[in-house]
Order: sequence, then structure tokens, then C-alpha cells
Amino acid sequence: MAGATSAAADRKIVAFCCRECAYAAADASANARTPLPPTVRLVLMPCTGRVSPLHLLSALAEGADGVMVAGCLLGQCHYREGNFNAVDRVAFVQRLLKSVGVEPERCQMFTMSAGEPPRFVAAVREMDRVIVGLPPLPRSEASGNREVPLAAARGAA
Amino acid sequence: MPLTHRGREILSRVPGGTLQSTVGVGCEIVRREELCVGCGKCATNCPSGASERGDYFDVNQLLDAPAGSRRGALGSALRRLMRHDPDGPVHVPERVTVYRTILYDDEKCLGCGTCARGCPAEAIEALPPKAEAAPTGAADPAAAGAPASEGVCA
Amino acid sequence: MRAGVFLCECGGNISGVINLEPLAAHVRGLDGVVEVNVNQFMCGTEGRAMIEKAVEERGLDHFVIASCSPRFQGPTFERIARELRLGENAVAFGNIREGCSYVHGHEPERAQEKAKKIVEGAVARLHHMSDLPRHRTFLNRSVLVVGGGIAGISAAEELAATGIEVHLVERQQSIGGSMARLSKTFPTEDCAMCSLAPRLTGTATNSRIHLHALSDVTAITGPPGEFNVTVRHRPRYVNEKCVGCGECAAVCPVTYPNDFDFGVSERTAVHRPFANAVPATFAIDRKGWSPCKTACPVHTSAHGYVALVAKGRYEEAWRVASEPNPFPSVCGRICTHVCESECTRGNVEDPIAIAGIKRFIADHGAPAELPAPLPVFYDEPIAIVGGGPAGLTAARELAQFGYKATVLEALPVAGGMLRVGIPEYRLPRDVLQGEVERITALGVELKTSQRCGTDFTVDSLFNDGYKAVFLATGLHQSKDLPIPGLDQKGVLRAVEFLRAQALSEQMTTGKRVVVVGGGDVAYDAGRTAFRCGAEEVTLACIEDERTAPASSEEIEEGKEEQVAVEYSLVPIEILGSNGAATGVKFQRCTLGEPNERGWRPPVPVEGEYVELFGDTVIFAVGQAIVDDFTAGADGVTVERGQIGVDPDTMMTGRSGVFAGGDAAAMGPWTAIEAIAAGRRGARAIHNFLRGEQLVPVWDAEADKVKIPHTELEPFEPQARRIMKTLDGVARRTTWEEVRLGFSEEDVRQEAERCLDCAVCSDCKSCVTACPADAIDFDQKAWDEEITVGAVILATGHQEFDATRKLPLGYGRFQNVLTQSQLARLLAASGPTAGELKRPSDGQVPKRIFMLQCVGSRDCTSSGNEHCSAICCLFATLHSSLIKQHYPDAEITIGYTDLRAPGKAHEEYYRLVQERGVRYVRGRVGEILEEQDGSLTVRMENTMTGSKSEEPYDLVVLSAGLEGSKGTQDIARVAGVQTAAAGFIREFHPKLAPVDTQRAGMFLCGTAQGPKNIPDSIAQAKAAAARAISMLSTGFAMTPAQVAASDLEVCIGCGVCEASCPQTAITLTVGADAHSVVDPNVCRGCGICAADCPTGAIQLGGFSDDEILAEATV
Repeated sequence: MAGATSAAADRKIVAFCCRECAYAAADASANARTPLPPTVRLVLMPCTGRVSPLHLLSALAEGADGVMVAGCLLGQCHYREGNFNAVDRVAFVQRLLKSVGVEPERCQMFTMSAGEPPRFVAAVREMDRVIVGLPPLPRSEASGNREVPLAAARGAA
Repeated sequence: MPLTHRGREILSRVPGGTLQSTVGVGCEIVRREELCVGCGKCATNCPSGASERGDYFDVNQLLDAPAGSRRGALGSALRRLMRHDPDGPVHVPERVTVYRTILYDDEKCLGCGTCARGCPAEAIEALPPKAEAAPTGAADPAAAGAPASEGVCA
Repeated sequence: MRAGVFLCECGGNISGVINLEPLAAHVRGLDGVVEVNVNQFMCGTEGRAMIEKAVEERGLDHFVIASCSPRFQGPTFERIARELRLGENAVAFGNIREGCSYVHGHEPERAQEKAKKIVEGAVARLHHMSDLPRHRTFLNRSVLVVGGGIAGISAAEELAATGIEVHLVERQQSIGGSMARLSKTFPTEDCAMCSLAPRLTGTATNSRIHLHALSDVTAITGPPGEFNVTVRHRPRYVNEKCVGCGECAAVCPVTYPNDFDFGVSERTAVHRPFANAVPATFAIDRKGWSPCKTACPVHTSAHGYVALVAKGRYEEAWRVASEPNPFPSVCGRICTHVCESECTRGNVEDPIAIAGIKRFIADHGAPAELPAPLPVFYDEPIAIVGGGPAGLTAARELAQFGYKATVLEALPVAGGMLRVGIPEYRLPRDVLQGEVERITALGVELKTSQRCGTDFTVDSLFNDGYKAVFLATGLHQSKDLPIPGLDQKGVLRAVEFLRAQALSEQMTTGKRVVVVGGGDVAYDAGRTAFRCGAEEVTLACIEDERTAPASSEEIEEGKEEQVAVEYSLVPIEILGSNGAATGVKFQRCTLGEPNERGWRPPVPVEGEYVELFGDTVIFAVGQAIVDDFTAGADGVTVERGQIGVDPDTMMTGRSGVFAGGDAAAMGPWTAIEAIAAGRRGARAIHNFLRGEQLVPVWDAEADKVKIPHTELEPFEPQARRIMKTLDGVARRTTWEEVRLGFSEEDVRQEAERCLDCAVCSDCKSCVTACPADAIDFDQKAWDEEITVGAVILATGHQEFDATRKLPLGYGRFQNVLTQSQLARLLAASGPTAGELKRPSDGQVPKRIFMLQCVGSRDCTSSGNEHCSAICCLFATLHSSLIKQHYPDAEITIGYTDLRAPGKAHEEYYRLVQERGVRYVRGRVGEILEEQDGSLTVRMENTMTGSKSEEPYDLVVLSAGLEGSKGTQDIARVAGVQTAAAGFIREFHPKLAPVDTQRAGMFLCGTAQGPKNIPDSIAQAKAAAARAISMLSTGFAMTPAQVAASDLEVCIGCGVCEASCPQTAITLTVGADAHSVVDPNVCRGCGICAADCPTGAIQLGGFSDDEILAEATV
């Protein structure tokens, strides 16, 4: 890897995209071969209402330098109101991060319609700009105080 | 360890109550914030408005939550990211419902024990009034010799 | 886990950027991967063959497809997995085309690295993927359509055409909805009814459409595909024998505002809203019993005879009045008329003079000839002891049942208290005698001067062959007070005094008379005393003036005859000298606290005494039973002054012996109560002899109509007619009847004051008139349970209530109408046969003003914000129709903005404008009414800013559309949400415009929002298509991507129940409460899973583990 891009190449952004709008916009922009920064990793979600604070914090704790949630325009959620939930959960995670000294902009929410690929591209580039502009997210090893396997979050025995 | 069987197993592993309030009538309410899942049933059920869902959240509740619980998982992730101890409680947006600190006003509390009976996480216990409480295992007011007239405790 | 990974080259689209061989090599080393293959087109047949081979030979249970976006070919591979029996959740996708090669072509090295991670993520996901249960649910292939307007009819026809059974429920008595009430439709100006009528008939004759008219949906429970619906059928009171001839409506005496014509015409109670109505049968608008009928102890339909009197049909009125009551003449004179106390008009002004009307019909409507004797069907003779109102009524009832009844009367005359208690000047003897003769003419045998206990006994009656005995002996003895001086000369008892007078007509009293008592009997005694020689009569009443027990008529007439009344006096001693009474000494009293029966005992005031002087003292302080009849009547008891009876069966302690009337009642002792007791007694005896159930003997379960005061507006006051009487003092010396009765003119005007509370007056004229025997007053509301797979809501709109816009004068000024009312006036089938006549004087209006946006596009609290969409063209249409019929008409339309979108609508607007209709952009401040009913419109022209004041003959308000009341009701029953102005909220305003929030429930027409007819029909057919696509296979698989709750983990906190936008989640009740997801209702958004504080509820295919496994690689 070339030194100039190595800083950027190390970064990882997880993008939780809703199937109806954001992921559709991503597909459309890709079909037009619009270049995107390779930092971003798409995760398909049925609706941004499915994204919980646990997903966002765990992705950060397990290697992502930034997380973004991309959903339908407000008021246009295909499940009526899931994206409103997502907006509030993202805001909550930002406040959690801020309160423990982590840059809140590492977690952001974007909205777009399926017919707006440029808006998706702009959102990803914006997120990439922010994350590449920040140092890699430092993280400690799993705390000895309370051992919590991630998969156990669900409560599997 | 999953939070099964209404938190019994976790309950046994957790140190004593973090908040105890005694009021003139009825039971002594012992709340274990680490076990609280934030569902707000106690606030909904409280007849006197002593319990209330707050509009802020104490981040330490995540950091202290037991492993295996949902909050514990969240706290564990946060622990790996944190650069300093939490600045203080965070304000919670409207649609985030379960990450809220339950406000508890012991001035208003009647000690009726409704919250304890309804708590699905068994994070609340109603003990007989302190003066008459047996030293241990006093969950049953009758066993502890509480007067019948105050036998409303859970 | 044995996983395969299939990498797709996508014909170079992927392999042109990503080198798949090293990727394959990398993937081979991942945990659980046993097979990695590369193919040019995984989505092709070769790719499928490759997967099949690998599954078979390598025993794969999961696989990863690394190719294009899962949104693109995902379903293809999921189907392959299903067909290879790998289950519902066996494929994970690595999006290395849209997610990688397409967008990172300029950075192939990083693309290669990223592709590795993408496939790693997919493999990691496989570890947490398990099969998802899906259930086959059977769907009921029938659909409930609520609302029979044009939308509901269109949906029903479309559904029926595909073989689906349709239940079409309509609240009104006919389907047709709002379209049936239009004159013509824009922009083509074709007749609404002409296009609708064939559709109505088609719906009625379609064997797959089950029409439930005059019915409401009261409950919808159960899951989609298997909804259980409760339909409440309201009674039509006309059965299926109806041939639609209309004879019933021709004789119906009730006139009521015609709601079908928006109140611009009147209709009868039994009616059919329009000629082409479906079903074609008439129906009776009958809310239940009017308050007067409910109040009457015998439930005489006062409303019925009042309505008939208003139409001048006195003999029919007499039949209504005498059907339950053999004494209409008596009751028309002396009844306590509780009917008048309950009269709805009495809430606002004086009630209708029902008793006076009844007297008129008894005097003028009774047939001259006596009835023919009735045939005897049963051979059990029945003895009735006592020939008063109770006994005679029982005798008539029994004769009508078919029994031989014999009345045994102790006195030499029949009539009981009516004859010997009520003075002749109130109830002439011949009037009473006439009604007694009508009873005996039926075959009732009357034996006078037969005293029970003396001339015969109950035992002897049974010995003589009577099978049942009815004791109605009355209270024929005065009560005495325990005070000194009672045995002096000149002290009389009222009952005995009145009886002696009635039998001998020779009684005389002293000049000054003191009557002790304040009830009707006291007045009767006092006023009779005048006619027996008294010159001065004073009543001394225990009660105070406010609580005096006498009827208002007695008090009024007593006052006219100058009866003096002293209140609040308790007699303590009869004064006298030489054995003759000279007066009464009283103590002043006040009324104490009421006891449990509401009676307030007098409390004497210490030291306050009053003496009243008179040479005759009459005691009228109550009546008592004469119990000599109990001799020879073992088992019949008299307790506390009344015969002991079972209140339900009226039977005494002796089998076969019944009792009723004053002798068996706690009171009030009125003639009408006695008549009621006679009717009940007859029914009880009939039930007893026929071995039928002994209880109950009285039916009072009808719906009792009570119109709240608030619903009486607007109310036109009309004064009660006053009945003429003989001159007050002059009449004191004559026995002639005091009250003279109404004139015919008065009685008809009085009857017209009736408000028709229950609409149908229960006169039963239609029963007689109907040639098909189709009228059935016994019909009751009943519930029907039906099961349907889907529901379509088409409950429509209602017009905005323009009375909410006070300055516009609607509801106050006769010549201010709404467009809907104008539509009825312009309709060829309407009340004026299409002639435009203004309501105030029936003249054709020349200058007409139409005001747009009444209640629409209005942000004030009395209006709605939305545009009602159809009003601009509705007004344009009506202007055009008027202009064509009356070319002289000058029409101005005051509009906010003229909106004519839609096919040919703008063209139509221009055409009508060219016809000479004036469109003014303006805002109306106020409308004023002139003396002649014409109107002045104060308006601001919003183009020029100028203000104007213009005279008009007629103003028409284009009142907007709101969700109908039926729409509000069904939304509540169906559990779907309504939005602003009461329209039902669709699931998604763009993507799911005919779906509701509840799965399996669809909506169409104006219940969803304002729209015109073609749009309603298009939407109806779309809703039908949605229902058909749901039900077409007859079964459904629950989707895999639904939420499910793990009962081991769920703590039952209820957070998910609150967060679900679909109400798919319910919490079980009890100690072990947990959440349950209905997979048929869940739409798979996952909000619940994100909110669950324990992770118990997870979304199929998107569990936390699956998401985190992929996101954390």
C-alpha cells in the first residue's frame, strides 16, 4: 500500500443502510460506477429502525473508526417511522461517546431517497472526510472488570 | 449469563442495594440500578408518582451493568472506547426509551411495593420497614413479622 | 457448520477489478468453509448446478454468494437454498460488485482487501444463521366491504368477479351512498342516478355479494386471513314480503325531515329513500318508544294518536288510544298523564296537551256502534271481583284472549272509583257508562250488588266452576286520624261522602266546610261540597305549597272555584259544641327529612296553633282496604293494607287467585295504574291457565327514546293550547262538566306540536294498510358473526357542518343552502323534480351566489386545513345546470383559488365561464338576511382589494368534505388510525395508498381523503386487487423476516409492545408475562428488536448476532 493512502487505508467505516432507500441509492450509484472511498463497508438492514445503539458501539469497539446510519428521508420510512427511531438512537450514541471523550462525529445519521444516489455518495464522502481527518480510534482491550462476549448480547447461553 | 428467570441468578451475584429509601409507611424500597433494564414499568405502575422515567441517563449504569445483560454488552463496548470517566448524565432523545435513568423520589414514595411486584427484571425489592426487618432474607414481610395492616409489600 | 463460498466473476464486472483466485484461497482458510468455487455467472444455470453439486457432494448446510447486491439477485439464491432444502436463512451475501468492484475500480489493491473483508463478514454471519420458521396459514376467501357507496360497490363487484364471497355492510337502509344523492356529475354532466342505478341492481342480484343493509360492523377480531366480524343488523320492521308498493308510506301520519334530501324535504316514518333503493323494501325509521309511550303505565302510544289527530284521522286515533286501554274517554279527562311530564317538548316549553287530545278523540273519534261479542275459545270461566278500572280492564283483556269473564261488583253500579270516587262534574256518568258498555258488549258478564265475603266467597266461586279469580276490590274506606272529636255530628269521611253523593245525589253539607287533606280526593270532596250547599270551603293541607300532592288541574280548578287552601297544618283536635263539630284545631308544621320512600313526615312547630271553623269537616287523609272479602278465601292475605301478591306473577297466596289495582298496590293509586294492573292481571291469568311461564307478565324491553335537550336546536316554540272551562264561581252549583274539551282547530294545532321523538309513532296504520302483510313490529336487532380473510373500508365522507361558520348564516337563514342540498333541488328525482325553488317562498331565484372553501383550506379552529378537491367543480357543475335551465340566472362564484386539475376539468371550467357564470376571487365576511328572505353578501375582492355588498336571492355554500361519522366509527372498531378531518390514514401515502396500518385491511374512496367519483372507483378496484392478491391462493406463508420473542429470555417488560408501529406484539397476562408476535401482522421493521432491553425479541434474518458478526469483521 502506498504511504500516501496508508492512513486512509487503515480506516474502516461501517454503513448500516436500509434496504428500501439507502442501500437502493448505493446500488444505483454503483451501477453508474461512481467512485466511493473504500473505507466504507455496507451492512444491509431492513430498516434503520433495526439499528440499535449496541450495533453502533460494538462496531466502533471492534474495529470501525466510524459508523453511519443511512435511511429514508424523514416521513418517508417504508415502515412509517423507523428512521425517526434511528435519528434519536444515533443522537444518543453521539452523546454517550462525547461523555467519555470520543469524537461524536464518528457516529452519524444520513437520510436520502432511493432515487437520490448523489446524496448517498455525498454522505459516504463526508463520513470518509471526517474519519480520515481523525486519528484511528484508540480502544483498550476488553475490560477485565466485566467480561462480555459480544455475541452474548443476545443472551445466548 | 443471560438475564433469564427474572434476573434471579444475576441478583445473587450482585452486591447489595445501591439505593435504599425508607419512608414512614409501608416497605423499604431497595433498587438495584445495575439490574434495571430501563423498561419503565415501575414508573408506569407507581401510584404516587415517586418513580418517573427521567429524560437523562447515567452512563455509569451501562459501565456497571452485569455481564451478559444487554446494558452490560453496551457498557463493555463503551469501556473499550472511553478515554475518561463519563462527564455526567447524558440527555436522552425522545424515541430512546430504555436508556433512561428512573428518577426515584423517596419523599413521594408510599412504600406500597407496587414497583417491586411489577418489576420484570427484579431490580426492585420491597422490604418490610427497617425497624422490624429481619437481618437477612426479608423479602417476605409476613415472615419478618410485619404488621398485617402494612402487608402490602411485595 | 459446513459452508460453501461461491465467488462470481460477473462476466468480468467483478473479476476485472478483483482477482478472485487469491480471494478464493483466502476464503478457503476461514473457519467452517469446506468448499469454495468461482464461476462466471453464479446467477446462471451453471452457477445453480455448481451449488447443487456442492450441496450434494460436500454436504453444505449454508453458503455465501459473493456477487452483486443482495437486493438484485438475493431472492434467486434464497429460492435455490429453499429448493435444496437448506431452509429459510441459509445464504449470506457478499456484495463485491456494487459494494466493491463497481465503486473502487480506481483502487484495485484496496478493492481486493475490501473484498476479502466483505466475504469474511458474510462467512462470519453464517455462523449465527439458523433456519427460520414459517407457517402456512389458511385464508378465508371472503372479504368484508364496509360501506355501500360507489367505492364499496365497485370493490365488491370486482371481488365477486374473481369468485370471492363478499359481505357488503351498509349503515343506511339502501346502498348508493353519496353518489345516489347527486343530480349530475362533472365534467360530463351525465345523470348520477342513471349511471349508479344499474350498479345498485347488479350488486343486489350478484349471488356472491351478501348485502347487509341497515347494519353496523361492531367488532373485528382475529388475525388477517381469518377476521371474525360481528355485524349488527338493525331492525327494518318490514320483512322480505314487502313488494315496495308504498301503501304504508301513504298512510303514515308522521312527517319528519328527509335526511336523504339533506332536510330540504319531508318524509314519513316508513319510507324508502329513493325509488331505485337497494334493497327495494321499505323500512320504518323507528328509534324505539317515544317518551310518552314509555311513561304511560299501559304504554299507550300517545305519539301514535297525536300524529293521527294532526292528520285529522280521529277514528284511527281512537283505535290507537283504546287498543291498550278500554277507558280513553276517562283517561282523556282524569288521567294523571305522566306522558305529558315526559314529553320532550316539555324540556323547553309546555308539553303537548296529550290528555286533552285523547279526550277529543274519545269524544269525536269513537265509533257510534258497540263492538260485536267476541268468540270464546277457552272453556275456563274466570271471575273478576270488583268492577272498577282494574277489574273491567282485566275482563276486556281476558275476553280478547278468548275467555268468558264475569265481573262481580259489590255496588249497584259498575265503574268503581271512577263512578263513586270521581265527581260527575269531572267525569260525566254517561261517558263512563259508554265505555263500560263497550266492555260488556264484548261478552263480559257484569253482575252488580254482589259483595265478596257476603253474597259469595272465593271458595264458592271455585265451587261454581270458575278456574281463576282476579281480586280488584279497590280501597273503598277512608282512613281516620287518631284525634279527639271524630264522632261528632258534621264530621264526614271523603270516600264515603263522595260515594254516597254519587249513589244518591242527595247529600247536603253545612255552609262552611273544612276539608282535612290536600290531595285530589280532598279537592273532589271540597268541590263536591260546593255543589251540596257549601258556600265556603277551606282545605287544610299537611304539605307545604310546593309539595302539595294534588294534580295541577285540581289545584287550578279549585282556585277558580275559590277553594281556600291552608298549607303546613296538622289536625290535632275536632272542635265542637253539643256533639256537633264547629271546626278543627291544627298545629303548624314543617316537613322533615325524607324517609326511604321519599315521604317527608310533618314536624310540628311548638306553640303555633291555627283554628279553622266550619259546620262540616271532611277527612280526606287517605284510603284503606275493606278486607271482608277474605272470608272464605284461605290463602289470600291482607298485609299492611294491601293484598299480598307475588309482584312478578300477581298471584296471591292461593293458587289461581290473582289480585291487582288499588287493593294490591303500594300506590300511586291512579286510574291508569289500575288499568295497567288489569292488563297485567289478565296476562298473568292467561299464562297460568295455559301453563305458560308465569313470569314475566309485562313487556317493557323496548328501546326507550330520550332526546337530550341539546339535540333540540333549532327549536321553534309553539304555545300550548288552553282548554276552555265553565266559569269558575258559577259552575259551583252545577254538576255539568267543568272542562269543555278542545275545538277541532285547537286539537289539530296542538297535535302538530309533536316532535316525533322516536320518528315512528307506533300507530300501526301501516300494519293495516300493507297488502303484503310485511310490517313486523316484533323485529329486534341481532348480531351475525361472519369470518372473512380481508376487509375493505369504504365508509366515505360527510359534508362539513356549515353551521360551524356562524357569519354565513347556514341553519339560520332559509335561503342559505349547501351544494349537497342544491344537488337535491336540481335532481330530477329530487323533492322539486329538478325545479330550482328557494326554500323561503318557492320562487325561482335569479341572483345566486356560491361560496367556495366553506370549512376547507381554513386554518381557523372551526374549519379544516385540507382542500376538499371536488368543490370547485361541484359549484361549476351546478352553475352550469342552473344556467341551462334558467338562462336569466345571474350566478357568481366566490372562490379562494380555482382548482380544476384532472382530465377535462379545466376545459369544463372554461366552458362554464363562457356560459356567463361570474367567478370572483374573494372572501366573504358576512351574510345578512333581509325582510323578504333575500340575502346580502359582504365580500372582499382579493384581486382588487375592493369591498362590496351585493344582494342575492339564494346563497349556496360549498361545504368541504370530512371523514364521515361511519368512518370514525369503523376506524375505532377496526383499530386503524385516522388523520386530520377524520379520514383514515393509509399505510404509506405514496407506496401503500390503499393499505391501512393493519395487515389485511384496505381502504378506498372518500374514507381515505376527498376525491371525485372516478378516483374513488379506481381506488376501490385497487383495494379489491390488494385483497385478491392477498387471498388468491387461499393460504399464505408467514414471512421469514418477522420478529420473534425468545420466551426463555423475555422478561415481559412490554417495551416492544409499545414500540411496534403495527400493533403486531401483545403481552400475555400473568406472572410469567411475555411478548408474543403475530407473524401475520409483523412487517419486519425491527424497531422492537432494537428497543428490547434484554435482546429477547429478534428479527428473523437480522438478529443482533448476525448483524454484529458482519459489522465487526
